[in-house]
Amino acid sequence: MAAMSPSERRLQKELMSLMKEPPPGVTVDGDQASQNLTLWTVHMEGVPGTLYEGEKFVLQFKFTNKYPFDSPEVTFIGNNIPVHPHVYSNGHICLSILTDDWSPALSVQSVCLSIVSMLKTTAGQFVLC
Amino acid sequence: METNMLPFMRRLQGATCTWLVQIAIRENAENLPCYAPMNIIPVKMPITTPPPDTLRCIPEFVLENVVVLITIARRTVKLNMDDADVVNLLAPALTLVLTFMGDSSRTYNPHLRARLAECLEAMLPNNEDDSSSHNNISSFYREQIFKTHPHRFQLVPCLLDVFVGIEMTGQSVQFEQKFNYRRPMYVVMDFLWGFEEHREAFTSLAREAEANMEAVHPPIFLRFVNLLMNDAIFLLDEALGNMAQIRNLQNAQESAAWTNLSAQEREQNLTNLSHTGMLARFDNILGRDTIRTLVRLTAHAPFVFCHPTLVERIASMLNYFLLHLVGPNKKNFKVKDMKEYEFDPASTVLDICRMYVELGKNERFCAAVSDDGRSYSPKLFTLAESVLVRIRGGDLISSLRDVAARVSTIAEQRQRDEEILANAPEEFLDPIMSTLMLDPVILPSSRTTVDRTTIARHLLSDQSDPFNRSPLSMDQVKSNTELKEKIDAWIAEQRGKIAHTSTSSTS
Repeated sequence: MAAMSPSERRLQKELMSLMKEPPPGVTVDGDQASQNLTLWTVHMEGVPGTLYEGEKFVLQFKFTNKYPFDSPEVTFIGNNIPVHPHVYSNGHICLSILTDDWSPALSVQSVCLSIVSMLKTTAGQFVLC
Repeated sequence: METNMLPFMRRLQGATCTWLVQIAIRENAENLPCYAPMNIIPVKMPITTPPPDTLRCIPEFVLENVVVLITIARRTVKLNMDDADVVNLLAPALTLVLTFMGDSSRTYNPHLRARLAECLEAMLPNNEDDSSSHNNISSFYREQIFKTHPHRFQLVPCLLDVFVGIEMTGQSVQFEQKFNYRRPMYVVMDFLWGFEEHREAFTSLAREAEANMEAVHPPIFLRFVNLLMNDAIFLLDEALGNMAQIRNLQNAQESAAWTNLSAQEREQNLTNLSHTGMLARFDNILGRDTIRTLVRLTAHAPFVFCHPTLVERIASMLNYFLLHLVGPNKKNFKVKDMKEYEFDPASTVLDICRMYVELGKNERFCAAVSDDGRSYSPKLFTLAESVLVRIRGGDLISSLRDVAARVSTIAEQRQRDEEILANAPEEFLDPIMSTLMLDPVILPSSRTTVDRTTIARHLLSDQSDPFNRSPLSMDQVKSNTELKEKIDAWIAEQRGKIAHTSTSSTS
């Protein structure tokens, strides 16, 4: 059996920890991700007490074989794209840690947390991008 | 044409060469009565002084005229009976090329620097593949220039500078264009390779690179090798894709459905075929030159390729192409008229196997081959062997077997190690890659410990500490010797346990 590549090994580890201890409101589709480690689907619930309370969103993570040295490609997919100044209607997310400010010390979990907190911020706190 | 015109032109350009070099090597001086060089100062290479302001006032065409004259003389060699006369132009022209080609502070325009490489190619003596050759005397003179020119030792460094320099030119160099620019450089390198002293120049640059692999500015040889691999990967991949497409188009022509197509559709398909054929030819020729250069360098400076920063890439590149050329999909590239497309998979396989044999002496390389999950399987070398038998690569087989054996031993050992080391304590794991750290280093500002290979790779693209984004370079990291000792002790302990259980179970 061929050994796992370093990036797969890291993804495997992240997947395990995300399934075991997911941040509140976040669940990863573990079956699908373990079939194909480079494509994950993450379900996210709107945080209670915000505009998005009760809503359900779906995030897609795509990883290259350079992960974690290259950032993952993260987009909202499905019918319900959150209406938010930093989210395009096609699901693209404007978040600096997904592009220029990415660091290999970040992880799927930290990206999820950043998106959750982005969705918490209320109008007026935004800098348009 | 006026009988004396060509000789006059050569004399003019010969004088231009000397004049341009004299201007270029001068330092800025205050209050000169006149900007023209009034005396000849000796040329010292490499030139370390900054370019003088006067150089800015000289238009590019002055330099380009020299290039044009020399390249035209090469192309029309059959018409030139007094070719020996050109030789008088070559010595000053070589000094000119060496002054301007590798130096972006003296020649801003990357296209012009690439033209100088073309000029250099036109200055070479005869080689076997030449369709139109010089007479023997002229060829001899040309060869002498490369053997005796006082600044000839700058040739290799300058070539590498221009090779690397045209990669990053902003938007002005089109992607495909850079391959065209590099073609004459390969021809020149090929020629220089025939001389011991020029080979030595490659080696000493490689040694210098080895010593400074982790420097803030990557050494020129490392960048050169990196680009060579990029080019090789791109060109071979493109070439194979095109060959597969040609095969489909050729098959379509022979199928029954072809006769049912309308005349227009047939014509469309034929146009596609000839277009793809042209691209394939281009990729095949350049790919072959690139691979040939890599074969030479791996044989000559294997230590650079086996360095941790490069070894994974060269190993996965070789695995990938070997798998395509000898693996189950190899028939996808079988086309008619392979010669016409300059497609020679047999010689590529031989070249790839030669690199395996050269690099396979190194343990780190073998480990990288076995670690490559994408293309490596133990079957790979068996497949290669059966192909080698058919393409007269018999002499490589036994050496390749040795490499295969070494790789599979390491693969097995790694697998075993992985099982043993799977439950390492969290503090022994690299925080980024989650692998056991073999060479832990401390990052000065975040005080985080990571494996040396991990941080080296991160710093290639981003010069900052991944944990707090403060500026960082490789020379600032410090070995975490205390942790390394702990890890080493733990590994030894685990290995000891396994050895113990396996001996007790067999007894």
